[in-house]
Amino acid sequence: MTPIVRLEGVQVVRGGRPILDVGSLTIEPGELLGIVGPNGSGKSTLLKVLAMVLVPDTGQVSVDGKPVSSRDVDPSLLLAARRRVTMVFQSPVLLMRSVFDNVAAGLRFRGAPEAETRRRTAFWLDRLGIGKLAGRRPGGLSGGEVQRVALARALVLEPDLLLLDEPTANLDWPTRTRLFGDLRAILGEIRAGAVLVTHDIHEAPHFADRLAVMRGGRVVQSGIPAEVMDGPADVETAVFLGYDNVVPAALVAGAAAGDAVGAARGGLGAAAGGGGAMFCIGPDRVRAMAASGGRAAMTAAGEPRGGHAEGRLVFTGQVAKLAPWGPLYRVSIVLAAAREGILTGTCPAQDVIDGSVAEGKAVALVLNSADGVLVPPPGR
Amino acid sequence: MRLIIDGIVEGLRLLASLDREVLRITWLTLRVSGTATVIAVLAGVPLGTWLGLARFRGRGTLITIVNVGMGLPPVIAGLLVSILLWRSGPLGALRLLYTPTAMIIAQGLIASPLVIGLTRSAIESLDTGLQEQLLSLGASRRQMLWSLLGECRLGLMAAVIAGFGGVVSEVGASIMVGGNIPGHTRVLTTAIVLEVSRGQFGAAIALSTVLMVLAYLTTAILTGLQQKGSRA
Repeated sequence: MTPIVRLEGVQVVRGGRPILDVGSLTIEPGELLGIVGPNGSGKSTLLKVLAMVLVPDTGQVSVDGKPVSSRDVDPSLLLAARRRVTMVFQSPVLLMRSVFDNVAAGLRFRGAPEAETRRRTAFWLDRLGIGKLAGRRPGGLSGGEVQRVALARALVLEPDLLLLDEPTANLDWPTRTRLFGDLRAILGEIRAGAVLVTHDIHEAPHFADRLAVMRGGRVVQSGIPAEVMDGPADVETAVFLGYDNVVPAALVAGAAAGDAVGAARGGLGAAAGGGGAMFCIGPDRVRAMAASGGRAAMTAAGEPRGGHAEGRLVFTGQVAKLAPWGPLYRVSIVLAAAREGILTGTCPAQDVIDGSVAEGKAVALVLNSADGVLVPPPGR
Repeated sequence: MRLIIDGIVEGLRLLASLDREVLRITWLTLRVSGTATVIAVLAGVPLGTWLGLARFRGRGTLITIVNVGMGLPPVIAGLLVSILLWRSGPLGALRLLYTPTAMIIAQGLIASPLVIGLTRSAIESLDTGLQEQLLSLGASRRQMLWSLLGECRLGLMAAVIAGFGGVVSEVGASIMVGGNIPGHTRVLTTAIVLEVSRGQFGAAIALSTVLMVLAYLTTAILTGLQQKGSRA
């Protein structure tokens, strides 16, 4: 199958510095690709290159195998290519016309018959639940309504590839979840592929078949979402994906050997001296509890996953910081074994209410090493 | 006091009698200033759009030149056109000096920077993301430009109002390149200057009233269009 869009050695340079640098990226027909990365990682720039509204400084963009990014490309070829791809921008700018005319704009650019334009526009306005806004002007619309108009004006074109730049940024959580469900169904109906850009790591895996992680203008990792989520390629990616705790693996290995506290000191020392892999784990997988019940704590942590019984570890230390985190509390402790070592876990709100976990108190953090990931140390 | 009252009475009498000379002068004023404005819009809107969108070396300098041009004293525009059209001048062979055409050229020169400058600022006031978003909706380059102009229609109408207002009220260039020849190149402003210099305040007041009404009506019509555009 010929990819819809293929990027080859694409660079966008601003101020003498590449803000986008993609060696190779292909998007197959019907594919749903998620792109995650911190702010300023080049996600929006990449989408604009894919949308062919930004010409890269070097490299080649091909649509259906035909190159379209050279400066002397036939304008009608470029226009035809661009009309197969539609982008929904992060901050949509609506025309100072009615919502209906905004949604109809793309069809009118294509010279579609007016009757068909009216029918399809009305259909998609209803489909996105904004039929009653048809006669309104953009001035009085809420952020969420503007976002829907922007989606409607893209979907009405039934493109082969839809590019979504944080399309749910202005929506509340239930609306977002519903919209993503809708969007997957809609994309299936119109048999379109999509690229979704988001900085919300929980959003993309729900939506995408393939996940790419961007940082500093580059795609640093890509694969099926579960693979990427469970196997970040480096420490920065791990932290971005929510594995907030990064400790030298030797620390964990040492702890696993039995004497957690003693081994921790040696492990940190070894890591500082020579390096080795880093162990990363999300705070949601680290359970904080009162230090008093040592053995009890081990049991309370529940059965370890994947038969890694030997991987269950206990670290003790003093609570340095306590902060609400969804229904839980985030608990950061300074490890008793190493002053510079900080580990973050979570505990139920009840533990904070009854005072068993409090700032300054000694607590135990229990984790299963199988819940963490090993990544190469930074700078390798 | 007597002078003023006499002047007003005489002025009203001239207006009420629909004096042929007054009508002719009024028609020429409309024709010259209207044509000059249309030319300035046809040249100035594309140039202003280009200046608003393009990025190139020397753009800042060009914008400054246009901004200076927006305040170009009409007598200087008159001087430039006079030199060009003077019998022994570069375009002297065309024999255009002291014709309505010369006045249209001079007034076009006055109105163009106004239209260019105001078009540029109207285009630049648009959201910078709009161009990309229009292209992504499948607009060709031409369709995108039309949409941008449609989006700043209020600013464009302001440019037309300013251009017409600037030329219908100027006198220096019209006298210089038109010569204030009765029945040929005499317009409202030059006629007013003449009547005042002759002490004919009645005629001057009558012509001034016509000029004010004319300026009011055209501005009202254009403003009406502008406001309609903002609601459409």
